[in-house]
Amino acid sequence: MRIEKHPILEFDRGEKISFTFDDKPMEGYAGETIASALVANGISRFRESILHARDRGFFCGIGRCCSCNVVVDGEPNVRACVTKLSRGMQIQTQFGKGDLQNDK
Amino acid sequence: MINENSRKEYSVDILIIGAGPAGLCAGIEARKTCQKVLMLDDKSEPGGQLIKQTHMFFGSKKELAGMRGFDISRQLLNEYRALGGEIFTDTIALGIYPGGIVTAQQGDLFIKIHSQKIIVATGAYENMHCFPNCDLPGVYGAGGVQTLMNLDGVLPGKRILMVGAGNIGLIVSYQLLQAGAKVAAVVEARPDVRGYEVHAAKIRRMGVPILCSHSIQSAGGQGKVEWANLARVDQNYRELPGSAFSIDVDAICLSVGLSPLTELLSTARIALKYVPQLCGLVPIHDLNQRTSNPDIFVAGDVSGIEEASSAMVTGRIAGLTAAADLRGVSAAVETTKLRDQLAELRAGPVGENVRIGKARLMNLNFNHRNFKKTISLDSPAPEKTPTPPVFAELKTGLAIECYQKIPCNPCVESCHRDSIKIEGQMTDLPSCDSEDCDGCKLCLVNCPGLAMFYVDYEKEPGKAEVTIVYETVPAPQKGDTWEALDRNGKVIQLAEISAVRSAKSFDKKLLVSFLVDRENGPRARHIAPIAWTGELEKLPAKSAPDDAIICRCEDVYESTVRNAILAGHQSFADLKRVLRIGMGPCQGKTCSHLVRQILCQMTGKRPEQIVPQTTRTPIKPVRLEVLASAKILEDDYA
Repeated sequence: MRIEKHPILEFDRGEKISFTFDDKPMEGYAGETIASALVANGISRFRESILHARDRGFFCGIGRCCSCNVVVDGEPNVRACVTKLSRGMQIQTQFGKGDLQNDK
Repeated sequence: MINENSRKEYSVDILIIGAGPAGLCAGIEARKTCQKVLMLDDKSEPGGQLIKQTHMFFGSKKELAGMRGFDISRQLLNEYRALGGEIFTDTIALGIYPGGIVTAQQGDLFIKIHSQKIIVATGAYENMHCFPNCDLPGVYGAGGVQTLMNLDGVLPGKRILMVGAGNIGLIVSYQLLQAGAKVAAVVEARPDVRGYEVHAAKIRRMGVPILCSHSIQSAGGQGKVEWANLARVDQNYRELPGSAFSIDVDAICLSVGLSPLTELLSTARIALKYVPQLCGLVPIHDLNQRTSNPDIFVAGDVSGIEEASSAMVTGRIAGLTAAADLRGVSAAVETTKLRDQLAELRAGPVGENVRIGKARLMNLNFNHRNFKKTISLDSPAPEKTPTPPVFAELKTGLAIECYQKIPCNPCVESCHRDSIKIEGQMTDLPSCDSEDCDGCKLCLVNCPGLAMFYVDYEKEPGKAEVTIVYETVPAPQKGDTWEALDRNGKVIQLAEISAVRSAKSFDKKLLVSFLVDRENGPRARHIAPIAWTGELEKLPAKSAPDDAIICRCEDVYESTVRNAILAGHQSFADLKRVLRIGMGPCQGKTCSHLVRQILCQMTGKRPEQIVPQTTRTPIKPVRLEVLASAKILEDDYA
């Protein structure tokens, strides 16, 4: 949910850009993090844990806990909370540790 | 693809790691006399936690009290840049090596910085809390919620449970309310609110119940948080049978304390000590913020958890001393003044833990050249938080509802008739001589704790006009009829809004006056639109799993850790070998605090007796591609 009216802050949102999450088209703003864009689109499950396949979302928000790792344009283990969203990003739920099949 | 040009080297006099309040102030002081000062920060915007803070800070004018956090950050940054200081943002320090060498990642570049003096101002990290389903999407750290909400303008939920009533829990609850979310409750396992009373009072009068001696037992929901089970706990935090209940929430925000972020110091083999009063493992340091390595200084929360105001002062001390070292002079005169300022901030009952903790650190039998110790532990006897005064007298004037000794004085400076006074230290309580007060109400706007009210019994017969500071949405209009609320957010009666004042100098706050019946003058302290409900609906407790994930990275359950300890693996190192706990991408930053607690509980050891895990560089996940491009240090340390 995006905050539209705030008593103190004015959000200087960047350009509206589109991206996909698990092939579903979504919209976010340039300059915000992947985590913010996903949560604003109602997504809270970002990955499945490595052993017990538990649902995980973003947690610490400062790039520390790695709970929010997603696959971005084929690259696994991208921390959604500290990575900026960019136009046309293809973001996917990460399962397990991710694999290197798309390595450059 | 390895880029041949991707290795970059810099050489500086003073390197500051972390551009929060402590780092920026260290940079400002260092840059005044020193040419080559460089600051690193892992975020794209410098300012540390300040950039997410919408509330006004305590302290005195010297520490920029009364300003909102993000404005303080902007001002410090401008000052540092005006002095010609340099900052590398989006640059993650990865390790400190002998000879003042620091390695860092900057995008796809691996950089190496040679420095003569290093000031580490890396701040703190949030503690995790363990309960069944604590890893469910929708359970967030308070800092993460602040980032989402105050930087990107995204709300993580509509109805939120806050766990922990320390200052951060209380402040983030208020910020959630400002952003338009509902805070269902704040739970605190201890019997009393840990944060400042004024922060608690702000959210109480907005109808948020603060449930002390209660804790979260479990959470649940389909793929994301839908509910939380809470229960009443005894002094040992054990659940009282039959007291459990459930509440419906769509997000849970954890604010259960901070720990100093000392990993970089560990890579430099700086002596650390576990000091509970400073919230964990802290670098041993002296009065000049110098560590066991004479060329490495610490400032701010990494040297012990405190407030931003003290972080700024310790930053200045570290910056001045490091710069004076380079010139071969003493900074004793300037730093003595700053230490007096620190003593003032740490005075009174709320500063007691820090005073004891710092004294414990500095009285250690530990020495090297330049290590300035001797600190006296002359704490006054602990004072109990006084009970709020009763404003029963129906007399026109100022109601100052500031009854806890915290370091703060902007009210005194805001009064143009000098009728507000604080006798003694900054931590003492303000009072107003109502004979002199002309009712200008400017002190209301200047009080960082929003703890001042003006009640006028002469405005209209039979009525009392209460004036409050209002800074949430929606804003009332003159002539509207709203609900008047008491200090606990309970509806008292309908109230007519009699005035709404705003001004540029009010910094987006509104002075709202409303009329209530005369006898309600002493208790009406907030307003809300009609049809507002503040009741907490307690539902029967829901069934939840018994076990909880303690290590998110390696997916280790709490029971697995306990069984391993029972089997004889009674140290961090052993547990790591058998369970891989602490070996995932977060490198134990999330779980080590919890593992320490369990180890203490099961082995009877004190936290300071538990040997921490070994920290190795790189301290953050780095792509191999970036590391490989660097030929790390091989020329210097073959």
